[in-house]
Amino acid sequence: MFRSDVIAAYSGGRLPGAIGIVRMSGDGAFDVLDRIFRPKRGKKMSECNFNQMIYGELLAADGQTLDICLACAYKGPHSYTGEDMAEIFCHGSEAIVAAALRSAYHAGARPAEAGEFTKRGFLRGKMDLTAAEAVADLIYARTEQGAKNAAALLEGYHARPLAAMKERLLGLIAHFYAVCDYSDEDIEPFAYAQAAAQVADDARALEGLYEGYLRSSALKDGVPVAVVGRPNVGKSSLFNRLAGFERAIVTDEAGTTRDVVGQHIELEGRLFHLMDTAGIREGAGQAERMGIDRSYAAARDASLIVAVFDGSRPPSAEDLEILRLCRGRTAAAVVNKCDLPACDWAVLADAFDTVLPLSARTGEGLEGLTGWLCQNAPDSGEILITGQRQAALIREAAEALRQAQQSAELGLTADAFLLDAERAARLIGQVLGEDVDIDITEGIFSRFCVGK
Amino acid sequence: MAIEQYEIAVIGAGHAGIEAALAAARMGCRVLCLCTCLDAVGNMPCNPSVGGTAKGQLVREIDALGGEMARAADAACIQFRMLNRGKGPAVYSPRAQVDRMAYRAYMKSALEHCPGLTLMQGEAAAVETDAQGAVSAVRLASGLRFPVSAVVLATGTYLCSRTFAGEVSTHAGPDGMLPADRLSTALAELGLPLRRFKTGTPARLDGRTVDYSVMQRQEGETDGEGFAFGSGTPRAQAACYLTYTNERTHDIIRGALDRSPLFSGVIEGVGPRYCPSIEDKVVRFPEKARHQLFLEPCGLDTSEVYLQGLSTSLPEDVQIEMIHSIAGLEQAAVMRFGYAIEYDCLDPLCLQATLETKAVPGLYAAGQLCGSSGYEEAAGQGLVAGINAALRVQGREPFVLGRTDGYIGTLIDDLVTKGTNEPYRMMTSRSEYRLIARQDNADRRLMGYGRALGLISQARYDHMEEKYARARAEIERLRHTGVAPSDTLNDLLARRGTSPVRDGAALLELLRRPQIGYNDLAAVDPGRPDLPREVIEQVEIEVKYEGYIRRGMQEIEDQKRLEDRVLPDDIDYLSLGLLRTEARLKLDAVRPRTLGQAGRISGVSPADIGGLIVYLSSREDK
Repeated sequence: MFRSDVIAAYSGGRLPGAIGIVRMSGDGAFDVLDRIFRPKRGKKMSECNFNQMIYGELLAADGQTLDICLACAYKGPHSYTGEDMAEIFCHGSEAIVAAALRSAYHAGARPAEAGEFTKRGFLRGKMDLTAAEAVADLIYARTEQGAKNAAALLEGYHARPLAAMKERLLGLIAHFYAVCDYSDEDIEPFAYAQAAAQVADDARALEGLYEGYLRSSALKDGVPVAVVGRPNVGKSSLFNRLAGFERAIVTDEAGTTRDVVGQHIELEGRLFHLMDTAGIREGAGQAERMGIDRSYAAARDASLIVAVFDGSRPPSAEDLEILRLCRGRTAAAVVNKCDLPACDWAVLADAFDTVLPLSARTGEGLEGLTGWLCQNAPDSGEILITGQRQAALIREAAEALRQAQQSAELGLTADAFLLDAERAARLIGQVLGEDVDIDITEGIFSRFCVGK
Repeated sequence: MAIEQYEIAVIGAGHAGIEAALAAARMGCRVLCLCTCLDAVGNMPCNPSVGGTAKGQLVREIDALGGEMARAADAACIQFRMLNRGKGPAVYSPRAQVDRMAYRAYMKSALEHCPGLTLMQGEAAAVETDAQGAVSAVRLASGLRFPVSAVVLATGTYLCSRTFAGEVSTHAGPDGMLPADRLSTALAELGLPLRRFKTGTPARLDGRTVDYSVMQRQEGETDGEGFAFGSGTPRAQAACYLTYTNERTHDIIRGALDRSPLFSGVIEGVGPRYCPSIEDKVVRFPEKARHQLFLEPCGLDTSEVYLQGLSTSLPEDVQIEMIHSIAGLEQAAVMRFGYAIEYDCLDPLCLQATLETKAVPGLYAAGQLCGSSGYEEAAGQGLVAGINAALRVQGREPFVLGRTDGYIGTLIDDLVTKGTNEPYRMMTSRSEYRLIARQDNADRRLMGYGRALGLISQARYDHMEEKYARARAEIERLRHTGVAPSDTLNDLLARRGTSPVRDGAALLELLRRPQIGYNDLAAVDPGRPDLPREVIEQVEIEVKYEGYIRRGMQEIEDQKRLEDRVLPDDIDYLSLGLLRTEARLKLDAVRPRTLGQAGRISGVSPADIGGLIVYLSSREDK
């Protein structure tokens, strides 16, 4: 309740945007700030004036420069939280914000609980209960949809296995203490080796969840969809058609798109991250070749691939390269320009389950593609972790279990092993929003989103 | 002899009363210690042992605060063991079998020889209060009246007590002693909430009629430390034995359940779940074919043997039949039968963390009266109650131990904050700081308090400081002493099942390996100083568990912030509109001392605590 260790979270609006705000607060917030932000003028942040924007470099966990941006330090009690606090105003890219948070966690901060900044401000008398509640209502209203999604996910797919894992861990802990505390009773001995094996399994399961989050945080960032094809088949036209506006530049010139152009689109309440890519062809110049490499990367990382072919021309060697790229993936073939006289594209049936004739120019056949996208978006049940906070807690729990496993492997006594198992159970309880610990937020504060 | 002017009366000379009386007298107060029978001072009506899991930690803490239990247990010890060895230092727990009579004799003598303390046989009947409602006198059943300004109630299981064995119920205290009824009525009249708890004890057998040859013998340790700081190796002359109940025993029990006062509904008091009677165990765990029984000697000069694990209130004829069904006990002669006992006790929510009652200033309570169970739990509370009674009389600030201080603090905090629905026993799982609050460092954690209170001598304190200074110095030496790779070293590492070193290593790094003990490294560490065992123990724990200890200390720091916020006494919780109704009622009932304590009350949410903080800061602004 009254902890004042350093917390950090993203506090800005939806990304990508113009500016991202990373906020941190607590005893030692300036130490964290000094480690992740280096002012251009050479002084440390903690030696600069408070309440003043300072220009400098945002550093990644490995010390590399992430961004050139602004930061501001606020000396407690004259801050939002009443503690030493800082905000970094970086460029509004998801990658930069995520790396900045990783860097802050690396430097000693921990992920903020939902509403923890406001809670701290409240607990330090910076606002009264009514004011705190008003802030809660405001934030809550804005993110209600997201909160509902998160809640549904928590109740549904992964809450049960996590709850079961927590129960198993608590069972282990209880068994150990039963044996210790009731040494007169004939209780089955605590099976350390078995417990260590269980903890290793659980750690693996948690790591799987965390990796799933890293791979495709689809609910938040959208299901990644790569639009690929050889040059000038109408990828960008199709992309713009799906985006609903002229997001990508379209010309008749082959190789117009040189970099991956991204756009979030919503279809039937689902978020997709559409990526228009450079046309894949042989013999391109250096800049275009780099763009083509990125096309391959985008196709590799995407959950869904939309392969576009020009139906008015016969298949080329480059088209066959696209076929190879899509083999074994969830991909749809779009035979574009169906408003023009068609050539024979029967070859596609071998490689694609779904072949959709479509005209990006007129929009004809577009609903076939959107229907396919919605059908093939990963089921929300598979998307396990929705928030950075939960993901960070899961990772922390996995680390605690790995530490426990390590203690067991080293041959450390079971009491130490169990301290980490208990910590993991507490962290899983926090992911589930269960009140394992009296310090875990509930009541009005549970309605806050992270970072406020 | 004229009626002396006493400052403090302690009612009861069991494990709580003894510590209360000794502490208050040692702090310079004139103390009257009343007991209904002076032959029962320091009696152990249940098991003849001190310590055990979590209880051993309590005894070490009592010693570090200047209490007597550790020294008495060392003096009367006939077997000593460290429980949970191999499970780790967080749960190591010292335990001693003690000679009951020797223990009583030691304690009676300690009371008799304590300056400022008067031990008197007599039954306290009432606590009188002055116009302000504070304690003014204690009155005996005989009519004698002693003006005092503080009273420590340490009545154990004697208030309106009743014993049960089968259909036979007796108005009696433990071991056939007289019950104390009058005081119970008087406490109710003072507005203290009384309730009924129950506990029980097994039969004592004549050891000469037991066939030990079919049982497993359990020896004590010969290299133990004893309970008291610097006590040296305790005596260990007695053995315990292990046997088991069997299906026939269970059939006999099941066949007699209708005659058990527990199951026929005669006993209304709530018993402890963790220390069940054998009939409870048989009913609750029907799938278990046998239950463990330990035979523990009651002393060196008696053949009485305590039958641990067979606590019962079945009729005496059934007890005989049941005992004779057990391997090795076929011919056993029963010397005392088992019984259940029901008694009046307080709802501990009526107490402050100082163990002073909220209703009557100057009235303190400790031990089983507060809803706990066990000698050690009682003694720990008695010590804190006695200290606070003395501090009150002397006009000094009260003394409160927190959860982060260790087991006594956790015990009292649990009782006065959460209350209890059954006799409360200390367990290692109850302390969230168990790797920090260990039995081996109770001296470092608490002796400073003991010295400040005048209960620990400067010499004893200096001796403790020296122990830790030596441990610190040795850790530094190990950190800075490298050892080159050699056959001697790598042979040792291989023998212990750990990897060899190629480039040499600091001794500290080698000691970090769980497989390697401090003494193992002697062969490669010719320059080491000659250190006593307790210093080596500290070095090993500090080095091997360093990361865990550091994290634990951080948690303690976090908790301290909450515990540092003391709540004023005069808050009218019921009028605090910021809080939910349930929280207002609970806070009003418990009246927590600190914000941290308020947060542990069930029914008080973090949001309520937030509201409370807002209220406090607005108060401070005025």
